[in-house]
Amino acid sequence: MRSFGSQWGINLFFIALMSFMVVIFLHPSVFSDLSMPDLTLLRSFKTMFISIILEAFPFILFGVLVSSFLQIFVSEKWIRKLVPSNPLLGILFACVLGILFPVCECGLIPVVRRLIAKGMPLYVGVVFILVGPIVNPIVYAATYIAFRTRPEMVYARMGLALFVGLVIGLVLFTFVRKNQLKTSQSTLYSSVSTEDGKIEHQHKRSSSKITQMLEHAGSEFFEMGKYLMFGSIITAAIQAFVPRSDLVDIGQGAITSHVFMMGFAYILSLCSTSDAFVASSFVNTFSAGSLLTFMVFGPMLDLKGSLMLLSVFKTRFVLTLAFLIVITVSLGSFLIERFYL
Amino acid sequence: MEFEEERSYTFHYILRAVIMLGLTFYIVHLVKTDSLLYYIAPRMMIYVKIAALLLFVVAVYQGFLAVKSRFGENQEDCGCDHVPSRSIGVNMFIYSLFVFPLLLGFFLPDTVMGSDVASIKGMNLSATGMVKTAAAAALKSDNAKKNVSSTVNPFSVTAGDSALISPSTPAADQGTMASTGSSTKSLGTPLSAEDIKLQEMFKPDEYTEDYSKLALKLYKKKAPITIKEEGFMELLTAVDLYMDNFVGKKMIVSGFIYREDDMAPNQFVVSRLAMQCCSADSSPYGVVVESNKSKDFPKDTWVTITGTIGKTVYNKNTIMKLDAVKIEKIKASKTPYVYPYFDDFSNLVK
Repeated sequence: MRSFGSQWGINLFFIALMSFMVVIFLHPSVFSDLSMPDLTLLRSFKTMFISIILEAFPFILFGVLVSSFLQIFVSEKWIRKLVPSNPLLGILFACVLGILFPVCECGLIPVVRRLIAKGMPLYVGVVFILVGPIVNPIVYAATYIAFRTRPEMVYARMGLALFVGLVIGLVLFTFVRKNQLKTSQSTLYSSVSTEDGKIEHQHKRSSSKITQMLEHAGSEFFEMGKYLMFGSIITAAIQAFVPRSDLVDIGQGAITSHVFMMGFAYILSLCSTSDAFVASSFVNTFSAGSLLTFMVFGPMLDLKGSLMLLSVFKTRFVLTLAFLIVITVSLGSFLIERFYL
Repeated sequence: MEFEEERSYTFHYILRAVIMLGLTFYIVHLVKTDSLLYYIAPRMMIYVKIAALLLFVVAVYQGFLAVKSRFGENQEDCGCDHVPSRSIGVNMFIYSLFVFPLLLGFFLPDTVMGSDVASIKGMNLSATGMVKTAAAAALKSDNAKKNVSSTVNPFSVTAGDSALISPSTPAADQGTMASTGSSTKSLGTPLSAEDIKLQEMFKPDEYTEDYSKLALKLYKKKAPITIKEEGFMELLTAVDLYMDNFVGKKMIVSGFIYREDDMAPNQFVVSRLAMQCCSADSSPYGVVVESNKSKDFPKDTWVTITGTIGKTVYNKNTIMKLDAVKIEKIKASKTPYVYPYFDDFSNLVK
């Protein structure tokens, strides 16, 4: 009976949605003609929310397509061969991967999940998630433009990101051995590598690899996208309803400014390509060191990203990682502020 | 049971296809109505368009799978079951997360963000913050290194005047100016006294070379300084940085009207929102304007101000202001935002 009822529910929901789409598609103007009450705050929320997800779409789609590509076309053996087995070299390898894959964390997380499931060591994958969104040509250029007059901020940002990646990579290499992926490897990666390294995927009916890839991409878009959507709703709400000046008043002082900037970066959840620009608007009110914290911490750990991380890794591991990031970034940023900036 | 499994797959595939098609159509709708500009910077648009195309392809294939799983063979052999939860409630919640942006997108009109957003984000009245800070920090770098807390204090480094030439110097003694000028700058061609004076007035430090050249060009122009949409922040920064030299000159700037609660009744700000990638990272930049007619112009009115550059103190900071000579109501700009200028600054002044 339950299933009968839920079938009906599903059908009704679906019919409603379908008719809604049809109406919108035929008469997009219907809704803008409705006289809406003046909801300025809701409108700014809408603008923020839509802009955040529109900006994330290209990256997340790229991410799920690359991930699906890896799933279907690339063998475990090849990945094991590609990643250096020496931990230091492995970490360095992960650090420079970002130069080849200049994507934000929304795009990286699905790719790295797949890579880890396919046998990339955990520490290498995590370093890639942390460093990749910062040490890449696009972010380098964006930071350079935003801090046109202070090029040392660019070097400090890149340097600190590499430092944090190195430290966390070594810590993970030394202390974390077990599989930290949330989903077991068998469900994530169902291909069987046969003796000669050939892939035999278990979609019996699927005709070609390209269509398999599209099928995976569709599922994964929703799997990753739900966290993105949820994170974006919260981020947009904070951006639209909480005045920045109230926040800024909390965070002055030598140490509090660093702590504040970490929290600020966390809730704003900006893309690493644009956060330098936001940071530069705070130069009047915050020290260079705390802005550096903002620009390194944000891409590594933010609200949107940590929700996505939780979908990939076990909760305990995400918490440990967050703790490590907080400690390393603030320490590093403090040192750089003292001796370089 | 077999039948139910099939139906469940079909349902998921159809719903996914519909949502993805909806998102595709929404992006197409934004592009067709030119409203993508409200959300995304022009240089990001191509990626969003590509995303729409990819979404469409994936969506069509999901639709195809729906048909296949409804009428085709059993799907159970596929090891990569991505249907995460069998609970209707959870599924409904997840899918409604994706429907939510569509509802917002189609139900609420696109709006140009104005004062309300500016007040949430915090108005920047001194575009030169980072430049001045850099210059001042360079002068004080030794102190700063010894004492970290001094750089952390927000206002200890904003006194940019230390990096600027005081406005009285150029007029004071032309002879000494000429000698110092020619000894430091030997450009091959003999410089007129006027040029040397100007170079002294717009002396760059190691951080501000681009801006000082731009400011010099603006200064030499006889016509009023026009802060155009293109290069809005850069032009404003150049003037603001060498503010003392520009006192008394005319400036023309357009934007929406914004007011802070603690401003004098005759004061308001003419502002534009500057965007890097998307609205979430936009920040408002503006100039304080003083005018007796201030009260005739409610917030968010779009105006073009012609005014005389002066200085005022606001929130303990010395900032540039305009004494309005002419205020003209205009239509809201077609592009809701201004964007950072990536080319050579010298193209900004013709």
